[in-house]
Amino acid sequence: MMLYLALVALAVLLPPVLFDLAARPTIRRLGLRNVSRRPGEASLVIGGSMLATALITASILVGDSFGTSIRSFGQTFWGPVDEIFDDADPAATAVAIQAANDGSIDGVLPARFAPVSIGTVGENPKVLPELRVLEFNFEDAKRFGGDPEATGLAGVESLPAGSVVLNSTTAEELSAQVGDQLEVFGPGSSVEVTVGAIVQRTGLAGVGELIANTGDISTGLGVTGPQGSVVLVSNTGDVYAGAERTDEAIAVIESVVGADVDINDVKRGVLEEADEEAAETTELFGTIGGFSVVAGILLVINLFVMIASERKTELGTLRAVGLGRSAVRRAFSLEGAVYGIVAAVLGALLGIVVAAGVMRFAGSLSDDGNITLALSVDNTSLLTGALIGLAISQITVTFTSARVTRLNIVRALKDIAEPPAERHPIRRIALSLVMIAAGAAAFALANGTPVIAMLAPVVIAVGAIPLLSLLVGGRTAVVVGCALALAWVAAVFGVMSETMADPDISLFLLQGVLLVGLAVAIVASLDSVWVGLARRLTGGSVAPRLGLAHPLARPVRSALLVAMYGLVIFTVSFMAVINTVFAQQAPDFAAEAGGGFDLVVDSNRTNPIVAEDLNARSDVEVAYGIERGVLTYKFERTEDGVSETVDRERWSSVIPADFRPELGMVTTARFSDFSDDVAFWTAMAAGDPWIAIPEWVSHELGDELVVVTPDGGQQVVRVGAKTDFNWATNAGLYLNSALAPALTETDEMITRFLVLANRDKDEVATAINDDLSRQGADARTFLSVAEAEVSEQETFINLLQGYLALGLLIGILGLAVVLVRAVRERRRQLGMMRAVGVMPSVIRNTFVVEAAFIGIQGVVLGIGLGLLSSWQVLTQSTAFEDNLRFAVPFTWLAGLGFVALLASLAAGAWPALRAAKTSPAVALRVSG
Amino acid sequence: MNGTVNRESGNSQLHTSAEIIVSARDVHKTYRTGDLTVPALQGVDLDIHAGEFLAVVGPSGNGKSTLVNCLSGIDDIDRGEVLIDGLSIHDLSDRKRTAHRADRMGFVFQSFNLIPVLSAAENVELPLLASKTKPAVARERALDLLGRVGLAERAGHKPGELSGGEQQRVAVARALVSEPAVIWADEPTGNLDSGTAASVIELFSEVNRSGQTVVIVTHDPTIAAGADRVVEVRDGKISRDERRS
Ligand SMILES: Nc1ncnc2c1ncn2[C@@H]1O[C@H](COP(=O)(O)OP(=O)(O)OP(=O)(O)O)[C@@H](O)[C@H]1O
Ligand SMILES: [Mg+2]
Repeated sequence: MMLYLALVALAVLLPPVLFDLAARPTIRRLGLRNVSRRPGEASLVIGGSMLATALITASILVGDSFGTSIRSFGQTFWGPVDEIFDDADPAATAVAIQAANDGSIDGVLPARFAPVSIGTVGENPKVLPELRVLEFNFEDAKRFGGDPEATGLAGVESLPAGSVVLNSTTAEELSAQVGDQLEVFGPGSSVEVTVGAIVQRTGLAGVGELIANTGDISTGLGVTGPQGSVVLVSNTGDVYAGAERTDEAIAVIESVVGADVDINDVKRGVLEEADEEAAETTELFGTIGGFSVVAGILLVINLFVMIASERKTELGTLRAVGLGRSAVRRAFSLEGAVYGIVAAVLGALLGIVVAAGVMRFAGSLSDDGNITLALSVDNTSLLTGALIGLAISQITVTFTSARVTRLNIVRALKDIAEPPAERHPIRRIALSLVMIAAGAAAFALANGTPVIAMLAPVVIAVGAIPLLSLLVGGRTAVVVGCALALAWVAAVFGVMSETMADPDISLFLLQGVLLVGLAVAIVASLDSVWVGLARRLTGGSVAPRLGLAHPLARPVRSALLVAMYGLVIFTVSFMAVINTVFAQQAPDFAAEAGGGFDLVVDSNRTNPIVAEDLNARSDVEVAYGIERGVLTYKFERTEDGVSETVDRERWSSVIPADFRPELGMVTTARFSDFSDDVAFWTAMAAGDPWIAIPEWVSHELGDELVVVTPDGGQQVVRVGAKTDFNWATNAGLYLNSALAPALTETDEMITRFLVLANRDKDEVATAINDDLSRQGADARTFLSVAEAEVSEQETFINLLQGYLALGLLIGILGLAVVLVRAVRERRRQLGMMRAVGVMPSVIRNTFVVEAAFIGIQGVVLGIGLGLLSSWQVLTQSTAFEDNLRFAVPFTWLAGLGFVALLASLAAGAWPALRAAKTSPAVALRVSG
Repeated sequence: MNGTVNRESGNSQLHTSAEIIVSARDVHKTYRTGDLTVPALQGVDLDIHAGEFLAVVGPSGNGKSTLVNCLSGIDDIDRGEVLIDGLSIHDLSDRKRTAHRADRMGFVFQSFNLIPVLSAAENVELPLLASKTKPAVARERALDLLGRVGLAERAGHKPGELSGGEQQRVAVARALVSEPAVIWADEPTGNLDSGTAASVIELFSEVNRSGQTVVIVTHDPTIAAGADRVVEVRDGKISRDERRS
């Protein structure tokens, strides 16, 4: 999209320039003269736009890279496995499938899964209660699917009997080394094995945590039934391409096993999910990066507006000596194109470096073993970055040069601001009315569209400014019009919560850009206020006066700088608030997952903790064993008038009969029969026909579900409540106490407990883990589970913020470039000031004040709007989860403001020192 | 319209025994750009007495501006010594030299060198603020001087909105505002019509009558003719030094 816009702009703007370059020597000479005559100036402009282009390119590349990294996670997780299905006699079925193969399948592997607990052997055994063993013929598995690398097992020579392969994650958790003895616990018995090899968690080694030869573990544990016995199928083609032949492969499999067998097309599913997630991540980073892109664009515009205004006198002279308007404009365009092209090429290359740095940094932040973050450079993205930079510079050059050449020659020569164009009142009124009408019409016609809902009223309010200015004067009109528009943009999520219920993430980009843009327009119109304020504060001493006079005399340039700064700070602050708000969610999450309980304790399948172990402890108030397993149920679904019966199997936990209802989980929604949570959990303990479902399961409160018991019986229950966050403890559905017999795939013994501690819960968790380590106790506080989840979110947001810091860095460098140019621009004045006795320190301070003026505005606007917008979005809209409590990370924001301000002062420091060193006699001789 | 300076109304107490305010001894200045060297001053000796109205004349490119810059201390010298108020100006630290300029000197440049983003009044009060005068006092003095150069009405205008002559008068006002002991003016009338030029020169004469020293570089014989003393610079040396009174 961006690429096409850039291409169109360049297709229109560049050919005439190239024509001049090739065929118009006069224009070429004029245009190129400035480049070669002022190499210093030229390199500053190129450097600045190069930075901007690098920022734009890096933003796009980073977005891509995150997407690609997530996608590759999908590739490696299942390795060669494309389909998987249960089968009572997998070896025979495998042979049959090979025979029926039409070329769509390149591997069939009979295998067995078994849920186990694994412990180390020795003084202080460590036990992981919930793991999965995968058994198959190891030699066949290494050849499975044709690409040994993809199996993840290529590095292992052979696997002798009694040896197992661990994946790296499991090995780390157990602190196990090659050669160590392990004890594998199944229901009722255990076997000892040796760690034969440790491999990366990819391919088959990602499917099972522990890999063994067929029968090595299962026979010893007595797990030999059809349960867990499966066939793995690999499609022809590599890890990725194989998924495309899923339909063909399924047809082959069905020709052997029949159409009734549920064939799970795992790879296709994972890839689809990964694609979706990759697209979402790219969009997220694209949007966040969008702020940096806009900041970069503002910098480019700024630089070129700056040269145009520096060249005013010169362009005026050329016009005065008789050069035509178009020749002057074209010469300037040519000059701009030279800068633009060099900057685009260098900037895109620098962008790769910057993106590589960001990905490295991101990689160090997220030590999640699942995803390897790596830079991927896509040529289209690279081109897009370069072309956007070039297109923006060309557009700016065209506009500014057209404006400059239209200037009155005398005013250009004397460098006087053009008087505001005296448009006829009728024309102003007409313009106003057209904009208001267009805005109103768009709003009325496309009211369901979030973008229009946000934008149309802004068009109306801004459109009303010319009309207003007839009544109250130009500045007041701008302030009033922009303030109204700003109020709307800030409030729109709350006011139009229905339309904005599920906003596209890019809408936040639009909102941010509008907020900052409008606020900057307001601030810029209040210039006399700032001067007055500064005078009152500083008593009119030289440095503040001049430091303010310069930016105020060039309102457009200053506004561009402030907007560039403000945008980036806005985004960083916005995300800081979101981060804080999420972080303080942890206790709420803990209550949703654990209610009044403090700990969840899992234990060894063979030798589990029993409730008595816990209830006998002095530091445990009460502990309940929770029976868990798979619930099978049916329900009626009506879609487009057609109703059908749907079967579902869901992991569930049973509420025990002696459950204390006041300790029940906090529900997020309750059926109207229940006045409070206690009433609901009372009914659940009593075995009344109710269940609670997690938020993400799509049933409504009161829906009837038909539970199918293993003996074929049926039982109707209704959805009585919803809970959230129970996925973090893998609790699933909550069933009433009477439903325990309906579960299948249960462990033979209860391995999970909910515990209410009567001492510090972290200490109790540690004590339980120590005392009951033999039984593989894994006690976690609900709060720590919630905090771990939240901190994963935080890491992600930190990542985004780090990514944005890039924008800030570029903003600061941009400000430095602009100020360095300002020093050159003002050399004569500086010389004069030194001559009449102004101290170097005062001159230095002038620039510091100027940088601070821009910096303070950017920081105040950015943080202020960030707070406003996050408050709106969090509390007034339905865009995020409900009941999020708004919170301000004061210290964090103060730190951000301080750093950003310091950085802008640093940006001013070098130019300031240079300015202070100006030698009066030399500077005064500079012509012009 | 008074085209010439009324010499009779010049400072009548002027005599050679008056205090020497600027004293240059064997001043050398050579410009170096790459391999090119331009010896702009080649051994200048000059004493300027307090209260003098001194005109510096000479052909273009012979070192007049360089002389003024070096003697006033805004440019460095290669050899020799310049004493101002008995202080060896080039031996002072940059800070002290700057402070001394702010206290004791005023400058008018050939091209006006006003600050475009400040109003006329703000430009004029700049030297006062540089020497830490109270803002209110500075503004009052600035308006007073703008009144004296006939620009009371234009105090709030920016330089770009003033004519060349008006800008030069603002520059003159700025040079005079701190009541400096020495006023250095490098071709202050080069861009002005004879009428405006005359009124600017009249202003210099006026302050000179009240005791301030004026050093003015000029190509205009009538202005030179009105001075107490005319110094001619040729090839970086003082080739003629005439005093009349
Ligand atoms: N920065 C510089 N670098 C090199 N040469 C210089 C520099 N400044 C002045 N000159 C040379 O020094 C000589 C004296 O210059 P100066 O400006 O003092 O002359 P002037 O007498 O004031 O001339 P005019 O009447 O034209 O203003 C000239 O030859 C000039 O070219
Ligand atoms: Mg000169």
